[in-house]
Amino acid sequence: MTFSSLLYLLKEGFRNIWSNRTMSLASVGVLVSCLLLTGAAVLFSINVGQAMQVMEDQNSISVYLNDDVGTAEAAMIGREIAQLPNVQDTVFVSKNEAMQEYLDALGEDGQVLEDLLGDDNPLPHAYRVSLRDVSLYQETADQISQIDGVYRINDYTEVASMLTRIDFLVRIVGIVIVVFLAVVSLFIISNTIRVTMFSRRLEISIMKSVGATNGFIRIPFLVEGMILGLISGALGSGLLLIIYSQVAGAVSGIIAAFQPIPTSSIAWWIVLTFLAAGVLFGTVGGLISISKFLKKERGEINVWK
Amino acid sequence: MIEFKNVSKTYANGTRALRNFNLSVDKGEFVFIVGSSGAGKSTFLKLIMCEERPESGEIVVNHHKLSQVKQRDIPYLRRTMGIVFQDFRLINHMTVYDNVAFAMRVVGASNKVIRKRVPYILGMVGLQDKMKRKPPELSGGEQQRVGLARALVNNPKMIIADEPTGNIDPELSFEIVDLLSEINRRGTTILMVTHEHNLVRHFNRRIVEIQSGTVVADSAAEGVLA
Repeated sequence: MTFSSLLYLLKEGFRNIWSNRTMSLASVGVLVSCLLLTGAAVLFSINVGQAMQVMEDQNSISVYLNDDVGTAEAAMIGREIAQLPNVQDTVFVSKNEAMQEYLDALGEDGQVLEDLLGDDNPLPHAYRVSLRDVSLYQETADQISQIDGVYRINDYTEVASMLTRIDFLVRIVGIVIVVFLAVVSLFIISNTIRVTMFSRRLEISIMKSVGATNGFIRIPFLVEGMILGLISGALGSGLLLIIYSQVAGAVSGIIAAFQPIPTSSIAWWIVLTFLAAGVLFGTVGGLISISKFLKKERGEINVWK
Repeated sequence: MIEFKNVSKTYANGTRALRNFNLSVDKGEFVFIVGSSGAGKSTFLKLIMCEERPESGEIVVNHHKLSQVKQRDIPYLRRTMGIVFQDFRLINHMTVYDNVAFAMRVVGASNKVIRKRVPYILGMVGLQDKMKRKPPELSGGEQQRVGLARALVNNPKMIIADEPTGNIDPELSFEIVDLLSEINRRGTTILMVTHEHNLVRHFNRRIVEIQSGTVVADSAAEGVLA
């Protein structure tokens, strides 16, 4: 194929999109939604994985004491915890320290709660316990929770299993929505291209009559699908990155201990994957309609009465 | 150039379009195909273009045995012929130049070749001054000349004209057939389907009459023409 032909076919692809812009817009809209939802579900999963990893790596247990436990009794409980074989270190966090930490994390918003620093403090005394061997986590956690005066321990396995459940749910719902939207996007893209093909059937019949190959006839429509896919990929990845950075910022503001994966480290990955997925969808959508159309028309020029 | 031997064609709906059809057209001939509606003229053209396949018999077009031509080779067979349609089939939003260039672009010609060839062909059909016009701005006769230029531009061995004068004024019809005759003089085979008896009478060429799917009269066989 000559360079002139290639240029001509690319130009025709762009012209197709412009002359059929309402449908093109609809396909881009649906494909962007599909990509956005897929991307959001994947990012959620990755972040949940990261959060669980961080919890595992922290290798520590927060032990909250009963509300009526005074400072002296708390010290005794601390010694008892420290004597457990798998405990490496214990750090006492008094109820006031805990409240102060909490107020610090809240920043300016915390000013209204400053009255709670005194006797009205609802938080209990606590210990942060670090472990020697994290594989014995459950056993050690059980031993600590049996000590008198211990109200509850902050067991990451509970959080982890909750996160796993949410992650599972998000994945299932995500897959269902994504599969549905994928089918819808393919349907809309292939229909968009079919509309273009229909509006250009005169040109196609002339092309056939002068001996254009089916491959040649296909190309502008494939280009159309690819461009629609590329536009959707670019828009979808841009939107997802903006939304993600906002949500990640908000989440890390609320849960200080959790640091979402920074936007900058996933930006390229998202952009490239989205562009590739967009092109794939666009091309497949195009192929579906073209092969249907050319199959229906077969070798016919459709000119004779 | 074209050889039909005992060709029969029945459509799926049971219509018997051609029966034991025999015809031979040599290189460089100008043949009028006449016959009433439903006589089988369109099927004859469809078979030449490989748009339909025969039920039985053998067809050879431009040295290609059509029974052996694969689906993917049909475009290349079609490049050996140019088609002129009754309703011109021009693309209205394109200029005259682009309509003709379109036929070259879709078979992969380079811009350089197109820029040389299109004005030459438009000059040949007398439209060098109207290259920038769009089809709706032209008369029927001029539009058909654009159609003719498009059929000629890829230098086919044969022109198939399907009632090319059917949609234009009678006086302009003669101009179109004159042009076809000129093209024929340069060595291109012409196959023209028509209903207009005065045209056929005026141009002393071979006449093949088709009725009920078979050739009922052939002036060449009858020795009318030398």
